[in-house]
Amino acid sequence: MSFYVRFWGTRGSIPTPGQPTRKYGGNTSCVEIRIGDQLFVCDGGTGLRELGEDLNQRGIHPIVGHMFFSHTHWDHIQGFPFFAPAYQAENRFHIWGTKGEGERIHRLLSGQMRTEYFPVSFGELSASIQSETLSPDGTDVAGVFVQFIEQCHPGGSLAFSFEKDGKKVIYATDHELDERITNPEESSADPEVLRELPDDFVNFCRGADLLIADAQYSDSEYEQKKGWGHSRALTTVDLAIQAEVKTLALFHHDPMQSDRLVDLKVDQCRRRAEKSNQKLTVFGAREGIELLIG
Amino acid sequence: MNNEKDEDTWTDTTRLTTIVQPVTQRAQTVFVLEQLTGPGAPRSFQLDSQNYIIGRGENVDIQVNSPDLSRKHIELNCRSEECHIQDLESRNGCYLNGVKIHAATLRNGDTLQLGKILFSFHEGLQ
Repeated sequence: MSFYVRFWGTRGSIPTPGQPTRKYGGNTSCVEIRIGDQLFVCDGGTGLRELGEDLNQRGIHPIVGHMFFSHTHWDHIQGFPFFAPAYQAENRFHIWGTKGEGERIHRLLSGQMRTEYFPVSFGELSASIQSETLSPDGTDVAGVFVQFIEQCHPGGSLAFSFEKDGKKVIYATDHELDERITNPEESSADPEVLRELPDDFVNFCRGADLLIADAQYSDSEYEQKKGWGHSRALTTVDLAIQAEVKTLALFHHDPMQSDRLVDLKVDQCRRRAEKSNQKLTVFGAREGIELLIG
Repeated sequence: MNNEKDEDTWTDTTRLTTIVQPVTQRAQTVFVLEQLTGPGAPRSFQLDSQNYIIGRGENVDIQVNSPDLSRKHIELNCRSEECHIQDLESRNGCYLNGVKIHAATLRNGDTLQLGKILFSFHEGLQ
């Protein structure tokens, strides 16, 4: 069965509308994965609003979706109050998280709709919105095997793996991979040296048809932003190389990066991938692109 | 008295001005698809606000007579501000800037590859 993966928001941290970011887009994290007639949504950044409009135009009744939030920082939940299908009683949404996490996310999603922050209360969302728990051993979600792994990010974040019929897609944003490099001295002395990453995360991503991963910073940008919870793009390429990933989508672009700077980042990452002896396709995730895996 | 003075002052310092609305023409976004390689190249197509099918079949809007293309290879849907592309389950696929895609919103300078046939997409204001 084929996976359709569509990017609705690829920006990190804060929306960046305007001409300089028109190509890659200014909406924050939101990715749609359709597998058969099942809908999976990764994160509810501002891109979620446009996904909601599109879902309504598709004429599906009811809309049933499985939502996976990497974490609840603003840029990953801000679109939820504007998600039109959540206001329609016939629709059903399942919010998946680790034990207790789904309920916590549910609570925080409703918290951002308190009157101090938003004019419409969570209670006016008439769709069914349920918290669900993912098992540490993996969970069958509507026929798709879903796994998660914890990532290095202030406050914590989760990466998710979606597998079915031998196809595998990983969503792994808001992760400071650089904090987990196992050969830091060697790789910082020589930028050409592969930045080795721990087995647990490499194995989680291993063999993925598509890895959507945090690649917010260039090496020079990262120097000022260590500990902020995001990766150097070249380190993300090294993860994809080690995990023998087929296609890497550089995701969560820094809000200071214009299209031109993202293009430069992508070019640099492609050159690094080409130096490896692996067939790895690298591209910059951009709004409106839909991939077919299958 | 004061009112009269005010009125005089008003009269002295005020001139009637005819406000002329500037004649403006709203700029329109123009989309152009340039075929760089393959039969018929080089040639370019201005895309208006409508749907276009590109393929090697006879009943398409932009025909490229190459065995690399499926009869109906892709569909372009151009609206007022944006142009969207969708692969019509073509045999050799559709590549956007080197990446195989199923659908996308096109941006200025994008390179499309259908089979071995290269196109360049341009957008600008007219």
